[in-house]
Amino acid sequence: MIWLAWRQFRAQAIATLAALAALALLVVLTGEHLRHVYDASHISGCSAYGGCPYPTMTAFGGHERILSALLGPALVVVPALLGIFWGAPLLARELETGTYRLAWTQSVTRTRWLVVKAAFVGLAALVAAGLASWLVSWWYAPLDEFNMDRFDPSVFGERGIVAIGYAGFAFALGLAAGALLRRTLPAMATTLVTFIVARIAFTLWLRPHLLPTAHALQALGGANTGITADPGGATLFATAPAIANAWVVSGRFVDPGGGTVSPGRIHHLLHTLCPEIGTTVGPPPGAQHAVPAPGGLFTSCMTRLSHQLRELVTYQPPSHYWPLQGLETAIFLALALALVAATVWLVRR
Amino acid sequence: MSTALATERLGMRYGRRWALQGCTVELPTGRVAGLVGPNGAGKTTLLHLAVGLLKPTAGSIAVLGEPVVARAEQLARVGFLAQETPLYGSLSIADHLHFGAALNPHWDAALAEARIERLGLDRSQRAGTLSGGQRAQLALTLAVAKRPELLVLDEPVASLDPLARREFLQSLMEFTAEHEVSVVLSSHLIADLERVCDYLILLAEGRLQLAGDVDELLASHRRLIGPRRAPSRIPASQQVIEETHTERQSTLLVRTDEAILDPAWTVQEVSLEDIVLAYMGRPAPDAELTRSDR
Repeated sequence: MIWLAWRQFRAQAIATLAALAALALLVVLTGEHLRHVYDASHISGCSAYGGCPYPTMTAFGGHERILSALLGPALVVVPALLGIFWGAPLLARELETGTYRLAWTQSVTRTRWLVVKAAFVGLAALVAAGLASWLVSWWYAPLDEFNMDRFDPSVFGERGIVAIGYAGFAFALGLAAGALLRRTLPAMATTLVTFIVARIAFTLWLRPHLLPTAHALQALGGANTGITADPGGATLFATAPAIANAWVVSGRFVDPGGGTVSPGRIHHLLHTLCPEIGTTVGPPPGAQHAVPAPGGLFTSCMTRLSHQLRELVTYQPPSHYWPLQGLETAIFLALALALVAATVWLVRR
Repeated sequence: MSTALATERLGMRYGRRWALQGCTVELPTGRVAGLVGPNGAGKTTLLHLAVGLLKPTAGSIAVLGEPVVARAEQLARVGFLAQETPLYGSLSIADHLHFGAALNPHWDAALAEARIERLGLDRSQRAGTLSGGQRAQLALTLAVAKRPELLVLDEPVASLDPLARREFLQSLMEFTAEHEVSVVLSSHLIADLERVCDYLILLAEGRLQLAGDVDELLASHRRLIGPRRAPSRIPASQQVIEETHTERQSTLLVRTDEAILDPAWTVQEVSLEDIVLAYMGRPAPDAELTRSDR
């Protein structure tokens, strides 16, 4: 049975191995260079948050710009590809071409046939995704150390071990879609769409609540506050400030004691404490974007407002990075197992 | 007497349509049974139920004396050649033999190799590039090298040219002659069945119309030609299967175990094809039942 699983998977396995080897070559060559630049520019003590002499910062920050824009997104695509090209056809092609009638009438029960094949190819998918993620994470390490943003949702899925969870999930999704739809192309399309939806939904609605968040009260300032110029007058809004190596989930205004403040009160405070803002920031008709108020005016306004308002920042501290990586991976792998179990049940009927 | 295939009020429904209904049949072991019926009669459904690819909606089915449950030991005892002979197109003949050896504990490698040798096939050739006849022969090799006690073949010769068809049936006959094996073979080519089968199972519209030993069927059916007469004037011992009347003449196909003594009839023997066609044209048995109840 292992022989059959390998024989039917051989071509795909070789192609994937070749792609991984090419990725490894690219990553090692450019990654070594990146490390060399990192060491040579003496910035290991500073970061994008400061402490760097200006020329060094721009020199390093702009390095390998194209590759750094590509490698991460490429890793996001890997699990989807595994689901589409390894998971979806595994059952769908047999059902579509009728070869399931050959496979399921040999002296091996179809449950065993499916479990062996799914385990074989599924584990290979986990290994492939793990290797790809390891290579990509290694490549980005100096940049992450500098930018301190690996916890940001746009980067979180492109590093560490979560890609393994995504790959398992995508593969099982493809398997289940194949069993359900019985045709390869629709199963591939369904896998892609469902996978994207699941990833987005998880990132938006589940990940923020997996572990309790930390909170910080900050004074108002340019880093966390902005003013919009509405036709009806200026409005104060809270932005999420960057915290090194942390994931800032949200920011909102509270009173100095931490109590909730109504939007009306914020509006009132802005217009009574900073009457000049509403008039100085002459709103272009219909415009609704952040307008930087003249520097001195904005700063003094923030100082005055800070007596009445604070910004409550909700964030996941850096110490939650690996627990969240582990938790997300485990959840996606558990979903994958559930999908495989559902597929076995479908195939037995 | 042990049975190769036994069904009891077997039924299979897809959605709201019954593909097979109330089918009770008992096939003794050691026979080569032909399964005939028009397209959509439920032949493939019955065969898929027999090899465990489907689970019945109603009734029960047993092969070789035990209910079909698709356990590994049972799968090993039944060989199956599916319709359109599915094979892995990108795998070579050698790969297919390896496939059979890897998935079947009783695999007869010598038999498989000998068959491929005799067919003159190139072992490295991909299954996708084989001709229809070669595909069927390779699929048959896989099915027989498993050394099954029951061999189930679903329209194996339907897409073959007459020469390939004859060669295929010859291979099949050689195997059944050499090994003790029961065969169920579906086809709508009655001439082929006549050559290889000693048992007949006839399905129409999802119902069993007729099942029995071919020689007995041939012996018990007669065509009667004579002056026109009403069906009510036929003796009860003669079951009329098919009747055609012209103004002066009646032609009947009857089933009877007694000799036809009425001198008014010209009695002719009938072929298996005549019998099959007569039963196919008949309304389903229970429809007939309700009519006679009235």
